[in-house]
Formats: sequence, structure tokens, C-alpha cells
Amino acid sequence: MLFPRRAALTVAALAACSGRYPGSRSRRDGARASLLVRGSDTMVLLARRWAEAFAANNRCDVEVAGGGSGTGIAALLNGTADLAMSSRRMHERERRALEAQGRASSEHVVATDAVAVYAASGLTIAALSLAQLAAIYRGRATRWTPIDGRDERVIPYGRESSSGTYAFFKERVLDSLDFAAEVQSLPGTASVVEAVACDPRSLGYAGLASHIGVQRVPLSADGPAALAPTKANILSGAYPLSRPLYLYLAARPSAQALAFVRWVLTAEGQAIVEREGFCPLAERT
Amino acid sequence: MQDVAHSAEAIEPPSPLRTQRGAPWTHRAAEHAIRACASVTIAAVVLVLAFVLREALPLFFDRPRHAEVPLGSLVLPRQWTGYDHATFVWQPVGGVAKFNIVPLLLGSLKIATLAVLIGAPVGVAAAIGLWQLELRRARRWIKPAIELLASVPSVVVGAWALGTLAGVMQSSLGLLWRLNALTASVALAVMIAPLVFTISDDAINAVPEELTEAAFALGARRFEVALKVVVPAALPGIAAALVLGLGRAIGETMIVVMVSGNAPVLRPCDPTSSARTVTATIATELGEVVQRSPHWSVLFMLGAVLFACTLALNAIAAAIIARLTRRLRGRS
Repeated sequence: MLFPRRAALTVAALAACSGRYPGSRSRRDGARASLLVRGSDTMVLLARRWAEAFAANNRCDVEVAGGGSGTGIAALLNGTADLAMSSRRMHERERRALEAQGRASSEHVVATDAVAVYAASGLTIAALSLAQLAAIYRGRATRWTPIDGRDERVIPYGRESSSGTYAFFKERVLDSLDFAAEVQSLPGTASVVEAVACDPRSLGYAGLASHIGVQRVPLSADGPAALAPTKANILSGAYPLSRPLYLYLAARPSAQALAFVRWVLTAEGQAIVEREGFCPLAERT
Repeated sequence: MQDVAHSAEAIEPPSPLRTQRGAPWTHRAAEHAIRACASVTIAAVVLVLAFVLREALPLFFDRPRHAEVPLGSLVLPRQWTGYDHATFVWQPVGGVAKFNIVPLLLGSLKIATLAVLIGAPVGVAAAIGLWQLELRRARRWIKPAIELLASVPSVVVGAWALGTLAGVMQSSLGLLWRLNALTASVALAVMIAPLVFTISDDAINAVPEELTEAAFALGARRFEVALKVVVPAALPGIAAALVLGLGRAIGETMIVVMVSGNAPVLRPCDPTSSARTVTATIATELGEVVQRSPHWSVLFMLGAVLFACTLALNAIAAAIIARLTRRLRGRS
């Protein structure tokens, strides 16, 4: 009675451990081909919508998995994904590692996103400069006093180091210096927004997301003008933390993978970008 | 020759480990099957260890790797550019990757110790209390109910801790950090207490009745018997429960990732600050890492350290149990 079930479990566990993802490397068994897209958590929902629409019109299933931009690029390197989605550019080191394997990849900008800084709603925060933000996340400034006069400690939240948002924030805001050890890292955009909503002393950075219980803090780069991450500001490039989103193709991509990227860049694909709350490409220029 | 073998068999009782020569073939087949299963388990442990070590060892023996990650930088404080003083930094992604494992080890130790300090007394006390109250009939459903609590998936406990416990603890204790080691430890204690309870309860109920009956016959009250006879006699089992609880606490990942805040701070004595554990680090970072990169090796080395800790804990537990059992036998 117990044995067959245990055997089935063992087989399942072994299959799970074998390291080959069922959808890895596009293959044509039978009628439908399949693609595996991995990477940025910021882009997972967007890529799922793409996948659904693409699969409906093509004889190809697209599987989407998150884990962070680094995860996707590592998967590309390790040969366990056909496409990597990334919210940051590939590092020189990663590019060289790919080339060393003889698998130089191609890069495609597919949408525009912004990193927003969140605070609990109900606070009156006029603006934050990037310098103030850097001081807070570097651990040089720990009080709310200079920002809105409250004599409280700032509780900074951020993303895990596997996240493209983390890498982007570190590079753009911290000037590639280190985060303070006190910065708490959470496993997703939603968890950052939720944590910030729970504590009026906290501040968090994450991708654009639905913002119930939180507000997006307007940011200023050099000048005095503070801009909120509205669509207009992101599209014009004026918002200091806007960024392109990428899809990376493995070398010698399958026809399906190429078709997928090409389709994403069409008006149909870009309409989904807009519907998911990101900024489509064509409007940016 | 055959005669000698025969007479030896006649004198010595047949070994229980070996089926006798005349046994039916089904017995032999079963014996081989059991042996195969056992060797698979042992082989799995050995292979896992070998795999972890193979991935971690380049850190120690590969010269180019030494230039990228000097061994000293793994455990010694260092003043990096941009820092005011020498310190222990875990910041594996960035321009200069910094792999100091001290904050992670201290984080694991802090959370696991706190969790055992909170959870184990509850579990042991519950087991003693159940014996003391003489709830023999109630035990039949109390014990499975508590064991059911032990089998709640840790994600569920983590979600509860994140959604409810963290807020309650922050407002009632006035904590600065909503996500902190103490909250994570309380959530972990919820997982550990049932485990400690059920093992302690088994140990307590395995105490021979002659001992307790003798104590009662001498006029001891029930709580005296509980504390002076039952608990000392069950001590090896209770010690095993504590060590298993500690092992569980060190190995637990999900709750810690969700509730501890994951900040690699260096405050081993401040339970209300955040902590980043070894397991949480491996879980969140391993998926992102390029295979065979320095970061990859360091994460596997962390795994090896974890393996060594568990092994040491088990060895200590075995030693304690052996010692206590011997002492108990000597007295009775």
C-alpha cells in the first residue's frame, strides 16, 4: 500500500534532482515546441502574459520562471533556459563567461520600467534627493528628521542580491558602493511594498507595482525638481530611476525563440507591456 | 570443516543480522533488498558530502581562486574602500564582491539558539505536564494533535508569522525592526516545540513502571516522582529531543527567509535586530550564481560548514545520550 506511493515519490524526487528542466532547450517533440524563459521577478508577470498570447497564436508553449535577473542569466550560462529576462544589463563578466563557452548571446530591449521608492501612505514626504537616498541605504543617514521632521529611525528595505532591481539601485543610487548591513532584503517587489505599508518608519525600493497602502516618493537627481514615477516622467527619461528591461537570447537560438522576441517587439506585444503597467518601447523615442 | 562450523552454530545463537542457511529464498531476497536500501541511504549521504566538498574545495586549493577570494577574507574583518573601519561584510554582488561568512554564521547561531531557548522548554514542560496530570486517555488525541502541528509546512508558519506575529510582536514589545531575529525565532519555536514534545513524551513514557511504582510505594507524590524519577530516567531522550530541535532550527530556511529580515548585521547579542542565516543565504543566492564562480564555491563551503555543524551536533547528542544511559544503568 505504502510502497508504490513511496516509489512514485522517489521517482519524482529523482526527476526533480536530475537538473534538466522539462522545458529546457527548445525541442520539437510531436507538434508543439516549447521555450523556457527565466529571470527577473519584475518581468515575470509581463512575460507570462506574453507567453499566453504567444502560445495562443503559435504552435509553441512558453514556460516562464522567476528568480531574479542574475538567475536568468546564470540559467542561460548553464544552458537551462532559452531566453533570459533581465532588468539590468548583462555584466561584463557574465558576457565573457558566455563567450568563453562559445555562446555569445544577443540583447534586446523590450520595455521600460522604473524603480520606485515607497513609503507608507499618509506621510507627507515632499521629495528625496538621490544623495539622501544613497546616505540612507549606505547607513550614513538613519533618521527621518531631515526628510519630514519626525524624530524616528529610518527602516530601509530592499531586494535580495539576486534581483536586478538590487543591482540597478546599487549602481545608480549608491554609485556601486555597498549597502549598509542593516538594509533588510526581501524576496520580491510585493513583499517590499507590503513591508513598507506595515511600518510608517520604513522606506523601500522596488519595481513599479500596485501601491495599496504605500506612496511612491518623488525623487530628484541633481536639480531641485522632484519627479514621481508617473508614466510621463518615465517615458521622457526625466525620472532618475527609469531603466530598460531586456530579453537575452542564447546563441544559436531556435526559430521559436527568435519568433518570440520578434513578436514581443510588435505592437501586439507592446500593448501587453502597457497593460501590465510598464512603458512600451515605441513611445519612448 | 563442516563439523566445526556446525558445532559452532550449535553453541552460538544465530546472528540476527544474517538469515540462516536453510531459510527460504524469499528471506534472502528480503535481506538483500533491505541491505540495498540501507546502502542507498548511506551512499546518498556520502555522495552529497562529496558533491558539496567538490564544489567548495577550489576555494582552498585553486590558486587563481585564491587571488579572487583570499581565504582570510572569508573570516577576518577587513577595511574595504568606502568603509570607516575594518569590519565583516557579506555583500556577494557588486563591484568588489565581499564574502565574509562570520555575519551569516552568527545569524544562524543567534536564531537557532533563541528558537531552542523559546521552544524547547515549552515542549519539555508539555511532555512532563502530560505525565504529571495523568491524562492517559486524553493523551491519545493530544499527542497526534501536537504532532500534526509539527507537520504544518514551514511556509504556512512563515506566512502567519509575517502577516500576524510580526505586527503583534512589534507593537506589544515596541520593537524597532518589524522583521527581526526574535520574531523569526518565535515562529521557529512553533515548529520546534511539537518536535521536542513528542520525542520527550516518548522518552518519558518509556521509563520503566518499576521505577515509578517503587517511588509511589515509598510515598512520593506524583510531582516528586515526575521531577526526581521520571525526568532523570528520561533525560537521554529529552537531550536527544533538544539536539534534534537545534538541528531543525539551524536547518530551517523558509520561515527565516520570510521573517528575519535577512540583513547580515553583526549583532549576535541583540535578538531584536535582524539576522541573515546560512540557510537563507544559500536558498536566495544559489539560484542566481554562475556555476563554478567564486560566489558558487563560497555558497557550497557554507553548505559544507552546515553539514559539519549537523554532524557535530549529532555526535555530541550521541555522546550525551550514551553517557546519560550509562549513568542511569549504573544507578538502577
